Amino acid sequence: MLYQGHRHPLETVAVDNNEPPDDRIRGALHALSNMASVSASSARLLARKSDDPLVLQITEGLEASAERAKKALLDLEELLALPDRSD
Amino acid sequence: MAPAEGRPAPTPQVDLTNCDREPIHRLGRVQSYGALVAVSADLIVQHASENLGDILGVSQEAALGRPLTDLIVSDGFQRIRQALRGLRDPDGVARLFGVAMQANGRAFDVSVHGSGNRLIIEFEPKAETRGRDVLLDVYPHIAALRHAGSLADLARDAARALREMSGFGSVMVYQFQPDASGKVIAESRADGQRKHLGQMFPASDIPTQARALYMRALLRLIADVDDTGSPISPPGAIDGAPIDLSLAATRSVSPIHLEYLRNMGVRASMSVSIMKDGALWGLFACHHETPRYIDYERRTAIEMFAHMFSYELTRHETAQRKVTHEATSRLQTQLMAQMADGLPLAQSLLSMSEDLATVIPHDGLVLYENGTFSATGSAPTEEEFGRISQFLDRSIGADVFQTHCLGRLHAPAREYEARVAGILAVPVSKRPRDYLVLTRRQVEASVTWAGNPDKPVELGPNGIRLTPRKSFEAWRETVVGQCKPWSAPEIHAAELLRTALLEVFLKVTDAANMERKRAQEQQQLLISELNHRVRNILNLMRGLLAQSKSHATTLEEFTANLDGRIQALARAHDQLTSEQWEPASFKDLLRCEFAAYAAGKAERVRIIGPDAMVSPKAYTTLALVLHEMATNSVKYGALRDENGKVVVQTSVDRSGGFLFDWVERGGPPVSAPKRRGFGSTIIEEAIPHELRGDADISYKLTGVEARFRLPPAAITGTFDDIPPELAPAPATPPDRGDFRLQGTGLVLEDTLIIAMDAASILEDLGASKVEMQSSVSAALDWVGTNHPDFAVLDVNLGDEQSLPVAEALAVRGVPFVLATGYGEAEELARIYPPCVIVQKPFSAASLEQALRQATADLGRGRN
Repeated sequence: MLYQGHRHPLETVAVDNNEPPDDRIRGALHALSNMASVSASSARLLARKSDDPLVLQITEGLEASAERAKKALLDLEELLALPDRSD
Repeated sequence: MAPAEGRPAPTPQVDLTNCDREPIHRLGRVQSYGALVAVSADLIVQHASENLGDILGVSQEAALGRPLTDLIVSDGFQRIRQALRGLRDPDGVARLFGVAMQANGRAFDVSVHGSGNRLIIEFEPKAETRGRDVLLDVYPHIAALRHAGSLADLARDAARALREMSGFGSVMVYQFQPDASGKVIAESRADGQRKHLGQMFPASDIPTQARALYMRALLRLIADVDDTGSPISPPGAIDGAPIDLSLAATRSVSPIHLEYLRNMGVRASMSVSIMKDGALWGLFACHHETPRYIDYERRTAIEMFAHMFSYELTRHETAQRKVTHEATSRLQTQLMAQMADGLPLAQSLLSMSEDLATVIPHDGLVLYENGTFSATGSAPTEEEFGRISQFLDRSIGADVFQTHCLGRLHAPAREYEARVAGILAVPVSKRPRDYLVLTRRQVEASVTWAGNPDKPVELGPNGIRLTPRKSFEAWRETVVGQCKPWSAPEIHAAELLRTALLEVFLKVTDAANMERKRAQEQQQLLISELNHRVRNILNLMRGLLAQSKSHATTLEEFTANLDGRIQALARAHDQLTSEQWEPASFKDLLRCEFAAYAAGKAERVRIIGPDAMVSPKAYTTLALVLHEMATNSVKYGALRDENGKVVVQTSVDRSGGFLFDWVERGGPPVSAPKRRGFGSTIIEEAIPHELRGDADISYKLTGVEARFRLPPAAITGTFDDIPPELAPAPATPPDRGDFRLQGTGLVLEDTLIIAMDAASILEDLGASKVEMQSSVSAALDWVGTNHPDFAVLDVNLGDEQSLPVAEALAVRGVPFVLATGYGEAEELARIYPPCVIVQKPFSAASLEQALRQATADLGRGRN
């Protein structure tokens, strides 16, 4: 029910090996970005719902990994210098 | 001085005008130093002087009737023919110097000119030794003229130079006066004496036709006054008319003129015309006590010197005019400056009399302007000037008028000639005439004449015969009833002054007209404005009356509401009036409202942020809105009890609009009004409807919150404000950030966790409801039946993109934000409708910022 109409956060990680290398890299980046977003959002949602120290610890971990993922994404983009694409 | 020629009158009556009628150019003789022949168009000799044999070596009898070519050698003839080709001017004279005319090689100076249908050829044996260029003698004198300072210096230097060039014992520079008399302004004598300097010669000394001749033939030499000359034969043409010798260099002289010269003790004379601006300005009069001949070439060089002198005269006068012009310009500037200081024209002019005197010396000054008489110095009385002005009105045109002897022209002036003998009148307007008149006192002057000017001729020993006077002893005349004559530079200065004064008059008149016109326009504008405002106020009152009545439940409530609103308008009007109906302060208006309705509670109102100057048109609208807000806060809101506070936060958005957020806190619990009254209508509709601004009010339980936006057109500027005056103690700030969302939001995101997170953030920002959608089709369906107020769209939705939804929102004018994973901004901007992009993973702050910008951009786009 939770994911009715919505995709699983890791769904886009599945990469088609028959695609050209650039598109495959983009796909991977997209998946990474999505994971970072999900981590960040999850952290905020958890923080809203619970004051449990364990949950807060998980939240902090998620936020930290989202931030690291975001930085990694930026580094990768710069490294690959891929042309802009919206897909 | 060498007066011109006259001759015995043919009638017994001694009449000076006879001199004026004497045909001095047709005396039929030549002087002995040259011979003359007159030839026909086919160059046959028709007339010859008797001395032709002595001069040219061909006798008169032998020459008459023969071709010119028979008389002179062919080289000489060819030179004459060549010279003739250059003769185009009717008064032109061809000059040849040192030309051999006979086989013996003897050189002649030759003059050739046309006279009627004849050619006059004159021969003068070359006297000077060849080998020295005459111009070399003349040029240094010409160059020296340029260094002369004043006119007197120039004339003195020229006289001295001419004496050196000509070898004559005496050279005088004789200047014609306005009355045609002549005055010796420079004299150079070999004996170093001053014999005639400063003396006057009567006009009759140079008859009219002599003056005319001086203008055509610029140099006249009389080598020996005792020379009887040589007659021309035959003396006349077939019709008996004598040959016109006007331009002949060797032309003989009237016996009367010779007698005149003898009476002066002169044996040789040379007169050289000084021309200026096409008129005869004066003469160089050269005298010698013994016969003296100088050859034609040197005479031509002297003539050229006279031309240069004329040129220098003009240059000198031009320089003088320039000085005068500058002085007059200074006067004009001074006059304008005084008038700019508020001094009336008459007072300004009278106070400048002394300065004016440096340019035009005078003893008194009268200004007659619009029938008002003002005078200073030695001037006529108002009554006396009344007659003078009548005389001027009927006698002079629009030009400057001057006389140094007013009594001669205006008899009443003789009675006060000691005070005012001459005037220089400057007309300074059209009829009825206004005048600036400068006056001069009488000067009892003694004029020295070269002999009695009243007796220029006497009866001679041979009965009734016109005879020139014998005495040239100085004859002194005491002149009364005259002032010092107004000089040409002074008259020129007066003409410049007239122009300057006319300009001043015109400026004064123009300024007066402009002021009148401006006043009329302003009056008209005020009437129109007043009319407009009265109509507006009446309409507004009518509306207020109707609306207040319909919403009031009791008469007291109706009266109170109406009175409050009228008072609010009145205060706004007062505010505007105090600002000269210029843009007025927003904060002043707000403070004014609270001061009127929240007396004692004003300290609980805090106004934070920049102030804005609101245009007059927007001011009344704003006044009504603020009035409603203020009265509501006092009646129902934060200021109703003792604890609540009102915070008004102002800011300027990116498009230049002026925002003010009204937040009430600490008052009684708030509920939305059960019925929509006129006050609510004013609050919600007045600014959007009348000013094309925005108004948004929400009745939150904790206190009313409202946001208003005045568009840039409604304000003329904003400025940072000083600390709030009405609330010395800081009030509690609103419990939210600057940016608030209102209404329903849409989140299109295929990842649920991200969608939920985004929805939570939107709710935190004020969204009352957030719809989450994960696909384009579902989102479009929802948008088709609902109206979102804002949206957050993920770009990539798995195998589809949110572009169709973005376009649908753009069409509906809904602000939205695109969320995207990585560097796609440039391409998105190309594909999507104008929007704001937030980078994923977003934070609450970055999403808020993006939504704020999207909302502002859309607002700017609407403006």
